[in-house]
Amino acid sequence: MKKDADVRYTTIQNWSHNVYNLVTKRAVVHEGGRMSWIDANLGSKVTMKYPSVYLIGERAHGEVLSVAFAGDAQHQDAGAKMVHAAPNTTSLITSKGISKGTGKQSYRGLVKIYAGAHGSKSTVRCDALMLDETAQSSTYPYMEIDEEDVTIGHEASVSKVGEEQLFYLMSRGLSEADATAMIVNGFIEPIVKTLPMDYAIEMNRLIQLQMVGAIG
Amino acid sequence: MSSLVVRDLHVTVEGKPILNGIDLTVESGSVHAMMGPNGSGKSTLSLTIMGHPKYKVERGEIRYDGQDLLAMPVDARARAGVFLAFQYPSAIPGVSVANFLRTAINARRAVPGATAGTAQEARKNDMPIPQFRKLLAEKMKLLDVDDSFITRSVNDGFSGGEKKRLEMLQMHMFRPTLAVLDETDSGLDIDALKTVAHGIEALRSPEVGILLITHYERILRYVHPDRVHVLVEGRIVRTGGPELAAELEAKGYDFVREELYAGRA
Repeated sequence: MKKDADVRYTTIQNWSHNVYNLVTKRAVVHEGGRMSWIDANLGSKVTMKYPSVYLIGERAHGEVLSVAFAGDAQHQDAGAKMVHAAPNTTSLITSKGISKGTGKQSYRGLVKIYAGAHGSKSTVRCDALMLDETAQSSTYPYMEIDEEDVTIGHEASVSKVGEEQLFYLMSRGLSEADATAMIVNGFIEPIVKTLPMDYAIEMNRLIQLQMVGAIG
Repeated sequence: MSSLVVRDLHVTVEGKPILNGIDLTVESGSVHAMMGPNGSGKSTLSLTIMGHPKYKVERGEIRYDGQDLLAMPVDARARAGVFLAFQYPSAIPGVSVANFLRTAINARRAVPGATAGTAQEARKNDMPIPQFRKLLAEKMKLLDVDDSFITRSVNDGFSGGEKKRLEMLQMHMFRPTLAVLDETDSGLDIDALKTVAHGIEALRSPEVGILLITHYERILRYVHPDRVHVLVEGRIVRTGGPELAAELEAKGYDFVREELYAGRA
């Protein structure tokens, strides 16, 4: 991406469950440019996908918003890679992972800051939501920082859909599947609200479909 | 005319007996107050009526409108017209109050047995959006609820009073035929208490039965029950008219306990 270019690339994949989804996504950003990958992974048997942004010009900015949903027998290994190779570059990684049944979800990310990329800032935030006892979630946040003058933040949370939340929603007339879908859609709302309207509706429907059949 | 009928209800929580034989009938059109000290089993009764999985019914029955409530899942009870105003409502981050209310209203109107596979069919009875907006505006005005409520996440970061207001708003939006209020009055300042009381009084109609569970007599200055029951150690030990609440306020729960023990001696 040339100087001051602004790009957003949105993907929602829902491959059938016999697909290996191994993808490389890479953006190179020059001075003052802004790149954001919005990446949602619901389908496939195994996904390994880490959209990357190489910040090679001053004040370049990179962003990855990642949503992954791992249902029964699926493994979603998704994350991001941010390479800061110029001064005053900034990056933001937000990951929301959901696992259900025997599904496994992991966040795997790399923040690399080269010596000389002074004044750079990076923030990583990853949240995981597990829908039942058998679901798995892991986080592998790698950081390689070779410059003193930088600001790095990392936050992570793991939560489970609680019995009380489910009971509350069901007492309002929602079925167990609809109640769970509502909690999940609330969890990913900070990302979904950045999507274009059609994509957001599609995303909510896909989540709804993941809940049907497997419960009750 | 529908009524809630509880017969010889015994309930345990994690093996510990909490309710030890409750008999209670709440007809539609009437307001019953269930009073009792802490630990008497008041919340257990309300959560058992709604079907919380933690509460195990060992004996007895709960029927509503002729149906066996205990055989029904939680959501089916709600769709049969039962509403519980929670003492501790759950937060649902990322889900707006408006979206939540509309989803819950439409869940009640959905075609029975429809699944997401038949989404189109299930959706045909949905409340049209203009009608929903009109109903919501009307109820928010009635209950003096602030406009900012509708875009906030359900109970997320709400104060105690705001949570109770949202419970009242839901109660009015869903139009239940049996409303159970679990200590909705506790922890409220006088203005919030008056709003809640107003919400309960405004629901009163010949079609609706109300069971108001409370520790304090305070709310009964604003809501006037037809019957008052006193629950102690998992049993209803006294039943009377509104004068019983006044007696309790004057003498405290100890006098009921003393009578209870004297009776046993």
